[in-house]
Amino acid sequence: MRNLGLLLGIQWREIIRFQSLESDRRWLQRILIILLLCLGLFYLGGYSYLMATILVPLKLTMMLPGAILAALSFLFLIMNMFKADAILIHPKDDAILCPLPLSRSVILASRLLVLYLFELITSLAVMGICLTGIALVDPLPITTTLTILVSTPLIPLLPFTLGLALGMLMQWVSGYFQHTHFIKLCLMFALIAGLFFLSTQLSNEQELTHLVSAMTALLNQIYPLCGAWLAFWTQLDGRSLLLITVFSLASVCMTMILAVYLAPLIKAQEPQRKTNANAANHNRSLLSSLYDVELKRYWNSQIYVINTAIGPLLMLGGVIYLCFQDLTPLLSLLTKEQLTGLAWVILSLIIGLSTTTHVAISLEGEWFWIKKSLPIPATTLFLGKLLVNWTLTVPTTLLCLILLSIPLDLNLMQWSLLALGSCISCFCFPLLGIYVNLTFPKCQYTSEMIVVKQSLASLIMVGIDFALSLLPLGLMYLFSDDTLAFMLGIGLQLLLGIMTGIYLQKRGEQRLLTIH
Amino acid sequence: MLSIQHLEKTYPNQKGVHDLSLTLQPGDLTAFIGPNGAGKTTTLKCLANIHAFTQGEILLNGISLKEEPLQFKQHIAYIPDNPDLYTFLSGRQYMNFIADVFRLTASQRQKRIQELCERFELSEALNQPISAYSHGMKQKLALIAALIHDPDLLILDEPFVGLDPKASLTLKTIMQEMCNQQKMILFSTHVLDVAEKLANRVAIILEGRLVADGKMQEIRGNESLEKIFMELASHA
Repeated sequence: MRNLGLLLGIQWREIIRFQSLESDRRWLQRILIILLLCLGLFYLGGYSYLMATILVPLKLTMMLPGAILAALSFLFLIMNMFKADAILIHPKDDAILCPLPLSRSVILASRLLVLYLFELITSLAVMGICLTGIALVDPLPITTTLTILVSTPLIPLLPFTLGLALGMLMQWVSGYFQHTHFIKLCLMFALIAGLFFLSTQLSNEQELTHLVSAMTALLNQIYPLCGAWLAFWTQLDGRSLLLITVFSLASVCMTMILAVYLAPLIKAQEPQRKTNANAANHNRSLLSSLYDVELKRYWNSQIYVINTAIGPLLMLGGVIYLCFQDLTPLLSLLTKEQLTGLAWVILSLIIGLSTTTHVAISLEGEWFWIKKSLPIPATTLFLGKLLVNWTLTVPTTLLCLILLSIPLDLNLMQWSLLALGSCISCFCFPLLGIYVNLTFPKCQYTSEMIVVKQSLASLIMVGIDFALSLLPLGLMYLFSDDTLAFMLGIGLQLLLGIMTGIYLQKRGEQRLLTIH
Repeated sequence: MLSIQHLEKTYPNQKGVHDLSLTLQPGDLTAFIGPNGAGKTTTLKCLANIHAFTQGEILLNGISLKEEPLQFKQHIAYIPDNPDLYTFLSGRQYMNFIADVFRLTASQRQKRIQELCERFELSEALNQPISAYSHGMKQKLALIAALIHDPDLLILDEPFVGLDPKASLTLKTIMQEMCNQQKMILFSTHVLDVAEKLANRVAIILEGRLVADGKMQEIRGNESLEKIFMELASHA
């Protein structure tokens, strides 16, 4: 138990660790973290309160914890799919822990427990905020509230196991291909898209007048046990409790089987991969060679790809979905100018969130000496990284722009403005990303996750993205002319992009030298 | 000729390099020795443009590192003490990348890669991902990549660590061949025996300052390099 506790402590710190900074910048990091937490609390609490005000008069209060349950389960399923490889098959701390006098079962248990604990704390926090939101409108009976809170630890169990199982399956399948990470990502995106699609399909036979049963049916499609959970919470139904308990116990047993038997089997069966023995020695331009290396670097990192590629793919998926929807109600509510502006805001937001350059220099890490000691101009180095970003964002953005013309029915002028704005976003954000990374580099790291998700550069880039993308919405309230507000937003991004580009050209070389 | 003039590199919380001046002539094989934390790696990294230096000047055949860093780096090659290489590339892909940077033609790189790989016995592993290489194989690959463009100045930080005896001998032979071709080599090492036998010049650094610099025979005299080094270290 003592060893388990020690390992849990270390692995917990690994999960929640943020970039450690020099003491004169830690205040900035703390402020940003507090700001993010407050924003999260505000958003969730506000959402819960607003939903409660709508659902309580309709006597559908329990739909809210039900929806939270379904959403959390979906989220944990996806999270565990991505985590399966790092937890069960290729854990990074094996080389450190295995030589120590620790039993294999304790090591495995600590890895699984820390992930479960993280999901449990998330579930408790989210459910707590949701119940608080409901209580502000119409408090639930104390027994119901207590039942929900006491049974929350069981919520993550089933998605925990399913996610790990699916993740392991994908790892096993993708291991037989040359480009393992890419195949794995395609499989994951296909599965997520499929789950999302299935969960949002409503049967034609649903009686929408019976709102409760319709909403329960919808929630059950997202998470099939949702009905059982709702019955247990509201009526303390014995059969529902039995069902939940059986599934939970089965999840625990299945997790043990996955961890103890299947994961080592999958790892042992991984085929050796050799690159093409007949790879020719072409000579290419410096930029072309750099771009090739940068692209390989990008695809080689699962966490990097997942965090940046998911935006454009979801954007494309969303636009395709819109093409098959009847948008007449939306088109009647907004003017074409407002619609164009809103479309640009959403595209710009996603393009900004998909930036790869804000961590590209940090991810050079221990390899940075190679490029620094070679005669590579700083501008060419930056261009190599920018090209990777543009490879990701430009084609998907252009495709989305072409497809959006179908449901939105924009005229040529409006579409051109939207296209111009989106291209400027594609130009501006990656340049800002490089600037942010040069200012807040993190080249010494033990896990890429710390750089990609938890570094100061990442946090700041998210802030910049939101600020620049949502600014036109604020301007639309100030100016009566929506097109003017929209163009001001585009103009600001263009100006910032140009200024950043000039700065990087003049000072980029010097800034690179200061990074150790 | 390499000319390091009054090099200063300071860090906020630790010692750096102070007023270091060193000159290498074509044909010099200089051993750069000093205790841990003396400033050897800092000096070599400043020379390779990995770290910016606070003051001073570094010139290679008249080309200033500060004024023309790209031109400077065209003529040098650097290998750190523990070379981390791109694990997502194969050995061949990595060498092609380096060759692309130095604009070697297909035939030039083909010839150099083949020749160097045969000497270091790395030909069979060339198409495997670097992630599958042992430490020694990575060291060999880094050496081959450094030599591929025939640099005028070779900067090596502890080059013999991790090399098997055969590869060590190959490296020493190549270093001597380069010096015979009037190239310059500056290498750091803790193994004073190797420095004594291999180098024709020695530079000793202590606490960021150069305390001895000259021909091996002049510095050593009739004593061993180890004895000279210990005497200098005890006086510092």
